[in-house]
Amino acid sequence: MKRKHNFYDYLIILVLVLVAIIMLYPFWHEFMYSFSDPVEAATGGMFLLPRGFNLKSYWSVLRNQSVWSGFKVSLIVTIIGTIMGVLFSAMLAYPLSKKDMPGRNIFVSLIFFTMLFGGGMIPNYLLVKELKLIDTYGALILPGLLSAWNIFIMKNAFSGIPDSLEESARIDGANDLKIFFLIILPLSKAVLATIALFSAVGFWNDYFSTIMYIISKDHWSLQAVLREILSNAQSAMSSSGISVRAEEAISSETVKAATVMVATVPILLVYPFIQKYFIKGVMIGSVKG
Amino acid sequence: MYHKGTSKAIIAEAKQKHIGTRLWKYRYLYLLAFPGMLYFIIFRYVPMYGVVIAFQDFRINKGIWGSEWVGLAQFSKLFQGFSFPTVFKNTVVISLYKLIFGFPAPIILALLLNEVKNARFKKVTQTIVYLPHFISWVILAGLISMFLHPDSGLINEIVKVFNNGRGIDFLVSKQYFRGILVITDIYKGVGWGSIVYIAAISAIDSTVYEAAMVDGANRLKQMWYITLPALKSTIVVMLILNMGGILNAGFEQILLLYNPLVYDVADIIDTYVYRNGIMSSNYSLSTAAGLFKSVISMGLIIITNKIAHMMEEDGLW
Amino acid sequence: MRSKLFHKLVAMTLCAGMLVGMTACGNQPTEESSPNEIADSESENEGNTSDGDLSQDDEKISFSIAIMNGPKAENTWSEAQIEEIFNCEVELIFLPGWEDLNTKVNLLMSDEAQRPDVIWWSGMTDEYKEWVDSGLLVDLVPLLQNIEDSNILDYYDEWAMYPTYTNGSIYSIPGDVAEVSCMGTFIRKDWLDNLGMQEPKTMDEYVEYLLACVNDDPDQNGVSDTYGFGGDSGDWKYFAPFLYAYKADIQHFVVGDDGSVVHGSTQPQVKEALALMADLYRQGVFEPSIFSASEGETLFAEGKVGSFYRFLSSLNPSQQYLQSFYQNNPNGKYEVIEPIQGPTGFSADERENGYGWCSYAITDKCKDPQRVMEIMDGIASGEMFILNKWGVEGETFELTDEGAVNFIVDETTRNEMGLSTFTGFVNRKDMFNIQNSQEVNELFERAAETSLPLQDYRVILNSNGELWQEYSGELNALRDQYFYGIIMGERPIDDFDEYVELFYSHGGHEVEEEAGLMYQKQDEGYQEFCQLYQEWFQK
Repeated sequence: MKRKHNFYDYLIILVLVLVAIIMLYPFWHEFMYSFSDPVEAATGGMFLLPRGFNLKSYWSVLRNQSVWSGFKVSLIVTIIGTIMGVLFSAMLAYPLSKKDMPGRNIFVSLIFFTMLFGGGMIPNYLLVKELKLIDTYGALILPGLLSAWNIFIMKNAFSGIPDSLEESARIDGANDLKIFFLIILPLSKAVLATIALFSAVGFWNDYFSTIMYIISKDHWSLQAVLREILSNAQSAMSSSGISVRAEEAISSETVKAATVMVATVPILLVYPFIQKYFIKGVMIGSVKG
Repeated sequence: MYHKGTSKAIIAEAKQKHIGTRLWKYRYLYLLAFPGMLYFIIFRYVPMYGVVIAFQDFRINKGIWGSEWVGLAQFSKLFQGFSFPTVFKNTVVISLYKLIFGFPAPIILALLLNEVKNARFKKVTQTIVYLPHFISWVILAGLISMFLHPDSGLINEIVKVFNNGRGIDFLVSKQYFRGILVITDIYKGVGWGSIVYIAAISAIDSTVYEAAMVDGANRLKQMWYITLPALKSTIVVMLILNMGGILNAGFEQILLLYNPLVYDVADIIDTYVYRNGIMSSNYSLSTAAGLFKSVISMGLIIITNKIAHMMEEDGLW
Repeated sequence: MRSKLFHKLVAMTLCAGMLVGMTACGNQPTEESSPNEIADSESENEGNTSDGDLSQDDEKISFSIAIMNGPKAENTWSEAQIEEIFNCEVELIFLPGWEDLNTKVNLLMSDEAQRPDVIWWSGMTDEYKEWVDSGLLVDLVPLLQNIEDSNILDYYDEWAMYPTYTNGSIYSIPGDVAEVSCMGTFIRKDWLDNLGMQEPKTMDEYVEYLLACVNDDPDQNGVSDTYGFGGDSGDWKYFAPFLYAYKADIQHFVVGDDGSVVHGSTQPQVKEALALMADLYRQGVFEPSIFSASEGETLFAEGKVGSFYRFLSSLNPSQQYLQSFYQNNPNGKYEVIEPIQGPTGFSADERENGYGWCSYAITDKCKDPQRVMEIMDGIASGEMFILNKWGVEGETFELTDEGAVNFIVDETTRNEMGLSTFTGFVNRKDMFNIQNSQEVNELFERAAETSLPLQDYRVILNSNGELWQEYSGELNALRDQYFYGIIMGERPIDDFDEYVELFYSHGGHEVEEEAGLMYQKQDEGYQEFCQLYQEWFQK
């Protein structure tokens, strides 16, 4: 059923193209900056193209051992954390979507409460310490594994699945476990992909767990390495009332931009992959099939 | 219908029995929920004793059990600061603006994207609009002040045309500053925020649209009568979840963009606590402020949830 | 006292160019100091000092050390140098970026299992006292006493060591004490020539120059695209040319006319300075983003601003932003002038307090504090500093004709080698600091003098009072709101009086009283400390 493009289609496309150009700029700016010559880039301003194109900054980043080890740590943490996080979130969200399950409201309230109240830094540190997780991958994965936010989004999506599907399966003798793993999960690819994305981005962008729980440099996550490279002594010191000149920066601004790119691009690549789960009619197809 | 008393007892007894069987009936669901609930107990509830820091003069070396108890002193320190009323008002106002303008933005974007027929264009646009989420506020703040520079900024080049050649110094203007906060916040978050809705739209049965088209519904009508109602439950859940963060008006964003000239309209609880607690890593003051915000958020969430129920939506629970 | 550092600055310029072969204390002059020779002299040193514990020397000691400076890379050339020279094994515990530094230091210190043998921090004066009180830090006096010709004690004077004095002893060493004065008024020499003007000396001349920068097309490009004054935002010290000429020191306590301690922002001359700045703002002298989110470096590189108040080191030829400036303005030249004289003839440059802005200490986790102290003292020596920061002459750097460092390896290689890793443990500003060009060295020397008038006026406290900590957040915000408002014409100048009133009704009296008492006590405490210091180290 193909329609001809009418005025509204062109209007929408025009609006979206404009929005996309504006949205692309900051990323483009960093991208072009990272390919620029540090001396020529120092005057700032707009970057539509690199100034004095060179790859030195990337060469410098790629020779940085911390970036490589950070990349490895972040990759491992993100993959394991995302798989575990999505699985446990779904397992928890599904029962919560059953309105008549006894105790459901208690569970929901308990989870909801954690959205608002937390113990703060010190007790979290002590907990991780008691669990003997200091300076391990566990400390980077476990504290941020599940979030109330993700669970509520999943719960909402599961509630939208028609009961009739489950009923027919139940008549065929399937129990809840079977229904969950064989019917619900395959039907919920869109929300699973969404939560996987949220979770992966959360793990990839997490630097604070490293600050809190990691001691040795080869366990630093990539974002912590990046944040360290970007960190601005001058502003941090003046905001805490120390008024002196900071040491000269260890890395030039173009190297910082290149590091931003190296640390950001891998996680950006996840989205196009999960977009294929956002295609209409998935549910219909699977039900029919 | 004979004796009210006995019938009640019978029903109660039946219910009792019923609960036992019901629990057993749902055993697999409890099993599924178990690891997740255990996680929440261990990683969220065990550390929760830490809120007592808000009632202490916490010193990290003395630990939570060794620090001095000060009762509500941290709270009175917070509330009695002479700029606290302004700060509280700003927090609420900025959050409300962000909610009113920022909350519908991702929905509108998702609806717009849904109207695009060319699949490749749609995918590329989706990917581009979510990019700003990954650019940190530090970098964005630099770009924002570049574009808003009173003389050479791109925005002011346009403003000058309409304003007799005079630029506007947006970042030091009380009039515009909140607007800038809201716009840049939407800018950074809209693409990311729309993902949930895009995913939800993709779950809509496409035959419904086809049927509507046969009935002669135009695209606006389809959007209004099919897409939006299908998104309703997601919108409600997202609204409630957003209420939880209502008093988080955007610490990092404001800290990087504001300046003394706009304190009157931009100073929020978080920046205020930051400026007042920075000298001595004041964990107690910031915990107290956090607790205060949480209590208010909890009230708001419960109210929103109630309203959702009144509108015959599931809400959170 | 403080002038000692100044003398070292003088010495530095005299000796510039012929330093590398010299040793810190001059006790063992060697012509060519290769790392091995330094190692020999160091171990001899140790042999001389700790007679009783001589046996330790052969034993390899291992200890952990918190590192903030440098590229934070493991197993580097720098680390290997230290391990070889001092016969030790160091475990480097890298601290995170500045924003998260205090959090990490707090966590490390509170967890006995993770506490490093040598901890490093910046600011955190309250925490320091708590650590000492809870016995987490080792008393350094006996350790230093056992070191003959200590590099640390030789480099620092009593004034710099005084803030470390707690509970009757010394528990930390300043990691870095800035030059007494490191900022100056920058102007464009080429613009002056273009405009046919003389170097401004008085405020009237300076204002004339600034106005000409805006109105008379100083870069002669036919476009009105230049400003008079610009720079970083967020700190009043960047406005020093206007403030200090009026003796307006608005971020510190000062000695009032009657000798009492008052806050500088409340003094009547501040009003005059603000009135002038408001007038200049109205006339478009200020680069407009200076009040919101300006980045001084970018403006400096661009070269569209006639005057800055900046760090003197930005004139070092190795500076990227200066190189960029020359690329954009081939005929451009920045010059640092003497501080502008105000109506009363007063003039001053910004002055630092002479205290360390970062410190390090040995913790109770350390098994052999004496040995670790000796190693840290060795790291503080001049030639170790050069080795740690710049590497080996001829291999990683060469000296220019001016006697300043010119790296012959690129940034990436330097970072791989781990240069600068150990510079947080006594970052020398004396003749061993071969970073600066002759020109910059002379500027430092001059600024040490031109900043003196501020020293007599300003009240320097070595820690923050409790009341000040409680009130300062709001008082500073109040000041900034009012002063920015006045300068930008949103408030009439007479709102200054309203500010003074508000200042005093919101805790101003209390903090002034507290500062006065602290000042007095500090003075007594300092005398006491100097006496003790003499006894301890017989200097």
